[in-house]
Amino acid sequence: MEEISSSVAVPFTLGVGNLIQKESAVTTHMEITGLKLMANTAAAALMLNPAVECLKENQVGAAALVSEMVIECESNWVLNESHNQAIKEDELMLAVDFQSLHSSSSQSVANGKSDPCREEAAALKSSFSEIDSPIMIKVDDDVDGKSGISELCPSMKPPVEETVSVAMDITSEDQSGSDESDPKPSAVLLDQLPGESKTWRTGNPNALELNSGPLWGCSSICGMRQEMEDAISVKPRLFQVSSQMLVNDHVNENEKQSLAHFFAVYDGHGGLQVANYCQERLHSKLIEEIETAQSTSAETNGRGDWQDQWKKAFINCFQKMDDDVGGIGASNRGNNSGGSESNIKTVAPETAGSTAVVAILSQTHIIVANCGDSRTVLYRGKEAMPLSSDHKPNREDEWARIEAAGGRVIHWKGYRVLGVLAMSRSIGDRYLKPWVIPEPEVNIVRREKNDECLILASDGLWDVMTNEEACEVANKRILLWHKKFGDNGPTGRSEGADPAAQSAAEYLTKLAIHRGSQDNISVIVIDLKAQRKIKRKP
Amino acid sequence: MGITIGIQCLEIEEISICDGMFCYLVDFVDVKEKMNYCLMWFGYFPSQVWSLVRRFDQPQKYKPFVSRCIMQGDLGIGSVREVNVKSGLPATTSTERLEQLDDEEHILGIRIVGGDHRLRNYSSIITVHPEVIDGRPSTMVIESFVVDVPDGNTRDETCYFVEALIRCNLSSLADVSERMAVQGRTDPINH
Repeated sequence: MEEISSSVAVPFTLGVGNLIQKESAVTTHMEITGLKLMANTAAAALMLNPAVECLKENQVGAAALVSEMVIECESNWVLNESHNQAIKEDELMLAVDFQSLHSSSSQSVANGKSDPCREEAAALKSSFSEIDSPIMIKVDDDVDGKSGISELCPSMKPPVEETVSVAMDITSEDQSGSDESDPKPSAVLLDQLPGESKTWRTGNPNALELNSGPLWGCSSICGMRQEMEDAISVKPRLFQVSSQMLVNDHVNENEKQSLAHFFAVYDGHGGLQVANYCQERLHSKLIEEIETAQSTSAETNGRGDWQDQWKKAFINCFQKMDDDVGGIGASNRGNNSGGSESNIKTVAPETAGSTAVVAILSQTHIIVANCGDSRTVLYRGKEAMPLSSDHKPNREDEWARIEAAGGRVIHWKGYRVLGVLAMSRSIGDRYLKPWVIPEPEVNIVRREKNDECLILASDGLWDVMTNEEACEVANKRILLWHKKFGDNGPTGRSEGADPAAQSAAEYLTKLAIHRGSQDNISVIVIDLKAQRKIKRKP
Repeated sequence: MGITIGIQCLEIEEISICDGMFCYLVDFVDVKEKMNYCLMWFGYFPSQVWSLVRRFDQPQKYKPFVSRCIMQGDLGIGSVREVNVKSGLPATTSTERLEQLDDEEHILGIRIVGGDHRLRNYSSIITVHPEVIDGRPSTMVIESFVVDVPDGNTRDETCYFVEALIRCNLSSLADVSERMAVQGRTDPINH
C-alpha cells in the first residue's frame, strides 16, 4: 500500500509544484526524471503490447470504446496494487510477465526490450510499477474481469487522500493570490435581474453557494519531453465583473457585480521562460485591462458592445505580455532566466514562446481567449463543444495571413511557419515575427443548465484524445467520484481543488500517457454542476 | 575559398542598430556553385565573435535552439558532437562532425552526420572576417551551406527552413558577442 501511495503521489506533487512553485529544484527535477522514466516505460509497453497499439489506432472510437478504455484504466490501479503485493523486488517475475504476453516467435524481441525496462525499474521502482500495469491489463481482464472491478473501491482510496492533501496546499496559494489581486471586499448581489434571480434561486437554494469557489481540479505532467515547459494558472474569485461587462444594459446603471474565476494553461516551447512569465503575470495584466474597459464603458454610458470590451481587453493583455517577453516597452522587469541564453533586455530568449488558453468563469457566462494550439472544450448536454480554435499554420485563414505578411508555411514534420514552428500564433517567439502573432481569438458563451464540465488542456492531451472522449471520460470520473464518496466523503467545502474534478484531471493525464502522448500534458477540469454538491449534503 | 565569386544579392535586411554596433543580414545565392550563404555584419568585436564560433563543443553559448551538447571523443578535427534541440522545432537531436578549424583564417567547417531533422548531406562553413565599415572596425560573418532537398519539399522551402535557423543563430551571435564585449570578457583561444 505504501508503494502505491508513492507511485500515485508523483503526479500529484508535480502538479502542485507547477502551480505553487514551492517545490525545491532538486525534488522537482527528481520527480520529472521519474515521470520521464514512467513515460519511457509506457512507450516500451506500447511496443511490446500489440493490443494497446490497436487501441491507439482507434483513438477516434465509439462511446463503447471509451467505456472500455475507462474500465481498462480503472483496472490499472487494481493491478498496480496486486502487482506490488505479488512481486516487490523480484525481477525474475518481471521477466515472466513480459514473456507471458508474447508467443515464442517474438520472445527475442521482448527480451531485447525488457532489459532497459528492468534497469529503469531498478533505478526507480515505484514509477516502473505504476506504468507496468498497462502490460498486465489484458491478462487480468481475461482471467477475472469481475474481480478486477469489484476490487476497485479499496484502490481508489489512496488517490483521494492525496487529492485532499493537494487541495490543502493549493488553498494557501489561492488565498495569497486572491489577497494581492483582489483587495476589494467580496460582496455578491443575488438579484441581478428578475429572470436571473429566479434561475439562480432554483439552482442554488442556499445563497452562500454563490460565494463558494469553482469546482476545479488540475494535473500537469512532464511526459515524454526532457523538460517541463507547461504552466497552469488557477485564480478562483480573481475579480468582480460589473453587469455592463456581461449584458448590453444601456439603461441600468446599477453597480451590480459578480465574481469571476480565472483558469489558464500555457504550453511553452523553446524554453519555459514565456510560459512561466504568463503564469505569474497574465491574470494581473488582464485585471488592469478589464478595469480600463469598465471605466471606458462607464464613460460612454455603456454604449459600447460588452463583448467587444472583452475582446479588446484580452487582445491588449496578450499583446502586453508579448511585448514584455520581447523586451519592448518601459515596463520591462529585467532578466527572468540566468545563463548565457538570456538577454539583458528581455524576459526570454527570442526563440522561446508559449500558447495561452484562458477561461473566465462567471455566474452567467464563460469567456475564452486562445492563442496557439492549446484548447478548451465545454461538455454541454452530452455534447463536446470546442470553445477555442487551434492556431495551426495550415488553417486556411492563418496560412493566408502568414503569406500576406511575407512568410511561408512549409510542411516539415507537419505544417510549420518557415518549417520551424508548428503553431501560427503564440506569445513570444520574437524571431518569427511578424508571421507569428500574439492576438487571441475570444469566444463568449452563456452558461446553461445542461453544462456538465469545462476542460482546458495543452496539445499533449488533444493530440491523443478527441474532444468527445476527453469530455465523456472527465464527466464519468466526476460522477464516479460522487457515487463512491459523495455521501460520506469530506463534507467541508474546500477552497482549493474539488476532489471529483481533481480525480478527472489526473485521470485524463494518465490516459494521455497511456495513449502514447509525446509532450508535456496539462489539464484543468471544472465541474459546472453545482447541483452535485448540494445532493451530497443530505 | 572563392566565397565572393559570383555572388548574387537577394535581400538586404537591417536587423538592429545598437550604440557602436551595426547588424545587417544579407542573403546571397551563388548560382554557379549552387551554394547558399547567410552573411552578417556587426561591429567592433572580432575576437569575441570568433571565440564563440570556434567552440565546437559548446554551440549552446550562442545558438538559441541548442539545449545541450555532448562531445564524443576529443576536440580535434573529426570529432563528433551530439546536439539536443529545444522543444518546438521539427527535431530533437543532431549529430555533427568537425571538418575544419582554422584559427588563423577564422574558418569553421561542420558536417551533419545524423539526427531527426530531415537534413541529409548538410555541410556548412562559417568564416569570420575583420572589416572596416565607414571607418569603424567591425566583423563580417558568413555561413555558407549545402544540403540535399528532402522528399516532399522544394529547394526554396529547404533554403527557407535552413536560413531561418542560421539567421536566428547569427542574430544571437551578435547579441552574445556584444554582451561579452560590454562585460569586458573574452574566452581565451587555445591554439
